[in-house]
Amino acid sequence: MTNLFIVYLAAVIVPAFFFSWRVAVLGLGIQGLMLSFVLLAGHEIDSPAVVIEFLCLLLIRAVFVPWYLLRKCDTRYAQRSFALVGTTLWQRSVVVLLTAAGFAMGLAMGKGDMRESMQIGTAASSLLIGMLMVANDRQPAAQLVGLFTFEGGVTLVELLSPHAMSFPIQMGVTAIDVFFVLTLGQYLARFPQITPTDGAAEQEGI
Amino acid sequence: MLALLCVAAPVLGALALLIAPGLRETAAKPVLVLSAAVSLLVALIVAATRPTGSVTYLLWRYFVLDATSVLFLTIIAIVFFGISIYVRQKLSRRSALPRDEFVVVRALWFFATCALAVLCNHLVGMWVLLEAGTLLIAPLIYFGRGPEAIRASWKYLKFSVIGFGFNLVGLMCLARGMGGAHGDHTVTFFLDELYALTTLGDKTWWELSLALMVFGLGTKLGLAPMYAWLPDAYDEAPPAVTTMLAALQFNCVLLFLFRQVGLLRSFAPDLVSAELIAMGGMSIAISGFHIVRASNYKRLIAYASISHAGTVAVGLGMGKNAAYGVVLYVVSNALVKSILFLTCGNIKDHYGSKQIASLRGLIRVMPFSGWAFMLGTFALLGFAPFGSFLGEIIILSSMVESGYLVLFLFLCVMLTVNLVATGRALFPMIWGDTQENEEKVIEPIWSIASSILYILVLVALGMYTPEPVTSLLREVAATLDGK
Repeated sequence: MTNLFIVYLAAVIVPAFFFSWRVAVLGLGIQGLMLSFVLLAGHEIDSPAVVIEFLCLLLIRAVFVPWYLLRKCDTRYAQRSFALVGTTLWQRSVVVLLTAAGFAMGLAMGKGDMRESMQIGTAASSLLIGMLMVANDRQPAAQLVGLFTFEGGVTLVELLSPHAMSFPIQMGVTAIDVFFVLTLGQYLARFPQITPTDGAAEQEGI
Repeated sequence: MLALLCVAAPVLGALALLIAPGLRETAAKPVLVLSAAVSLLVALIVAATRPTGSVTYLLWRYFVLDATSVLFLTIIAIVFFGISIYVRQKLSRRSALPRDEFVVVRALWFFATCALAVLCNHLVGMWVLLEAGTLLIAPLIYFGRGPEAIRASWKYLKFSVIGFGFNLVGLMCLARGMGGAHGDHTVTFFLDELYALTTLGDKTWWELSLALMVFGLGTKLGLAPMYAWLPDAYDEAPPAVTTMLAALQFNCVLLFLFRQVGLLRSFAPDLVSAELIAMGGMSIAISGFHIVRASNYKRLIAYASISHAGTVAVGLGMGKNAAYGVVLYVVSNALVKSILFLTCGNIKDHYGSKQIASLRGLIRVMPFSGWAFMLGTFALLGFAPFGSFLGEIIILSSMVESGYLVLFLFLCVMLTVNLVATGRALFPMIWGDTQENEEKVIEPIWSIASSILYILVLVALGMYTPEPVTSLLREVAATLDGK
């Protein structure tokens, strides 16, 4: 289990130090894969809700999200000075500091349970680094990666509880995941429009 | 089961428009108004026939009909009916924007998710429905508009995802606290089962859970420090969409907050009071600063909405003394914001500008919209006889009763600053001298029909509230303080 969290954390942190859209998207795919393995390791696959959650993580987070983002985004636009958390040494140091803060929180909340401390620490780091990506970079494509990283952290916290959701609720959560990805995809196609300001006249809608 | 017709009407309307694309152009308007009218009628029947104090569970207890859900269902149904009349009027008066009917379909889905969220008895279920509503409405902010609107919509989506993300983390912390490290205890998210519990397990976890939940929903409500999305989204969105955000979604999220705070307060009565008061006070101060500097009337009202959210948070933090005032204030504000944002649409359509400086003598040039805007502004500022006045007075007096005199003084100062700044900006716009060549506009009655509806309800709430409505408000207020 510990190895899964280490790989997950690497998939969050490493893309922050690369200036590559493809590495960032690959990181999201690995995060999705690790999340599905964490689910397998921590839960019995004994109810339709768990099966749905596993399939959602594996097929949507690990496969569909990277494929969809690469397909939707104009690569030339995304590659233009792409950086998830900025380029200065200070900005990169913040990533390390946030990881340390996340694990400090994990140790405090885990109360001696190593697995739980590790899971909380990884989740908290993912939430904090995701927020940093959303807040720190003015490039919308990097913010989008930040939102997925943040969502990954939320899912890790979800997996803390060994109890599965009821089937209708799990279906709802899965539907939201899919809808979330599709909605962000719509924005991805519009990011080139909002980078420059052309001051075009607009119509007053309804 | 009748209450679920409120949801079925917009869902059937949206499905009909999706299935019959040929009808979309001609049928979008009547379908929207009809769906909203049926929802309103059903909500009113449900509210009128519900015995005081009764709680009815629907569909395997996933949904509940109690005082809180009935009150909020009625408010959002009234607001949505007004929006539907406004949209119908706008679509009739001008050549439609490309794919306007898709906006109508999305609006119907959005209202359906709001109504379902209001009726939901399951915390994660409610979260799912509110998140679905957010994803449905976010593209409507920029639909058919320029880069600024896309930027505002993206900002709205980012803050919403983070806010709801924190809220879900909070709910999962609650589950972890309840279930124990190894799943030793049962975990539930059904509200009635949660209220029946004698303990929520590990206190560290559920205290963390409440902090995260309040921070998350505070973001969605536009409370400081996470309010930056609100002025941009409210300003850039079309008026009907702004009203959906400010009066429909705001109230649904507030209901979610009421449910969560009410639940956890039944285990620890003073929990998060200080945090709510701090967030609310900060929001009121920040909005005052922005209102003083505002040069755009729609943006000014958006800043006033931050102040309203702050007042609600402070009232909620005060506990049971202010609870009735909070509920009355929330109901009134849904209507006030609807009047103002929809009237802003009429004004922008005529003048082609949202700048305060370019408008003078509104009440003479556009008498109907001018009067609606004037009454809306009075209600916004908390003048008598509107319900917001009474709500604000109750919240302020609860501070004195509870001994929060510094907070009382601070709020009085800030409310005065807001009043003077808003009045200084908006009163010349309403009553100032018109330009010589400016002629009176003949406005069709339908363009302000929705505002008239809202004003009537608002005045009724402030001047004469029938006993069944008062007892409904009291029942809701009682739930804010736990069991």
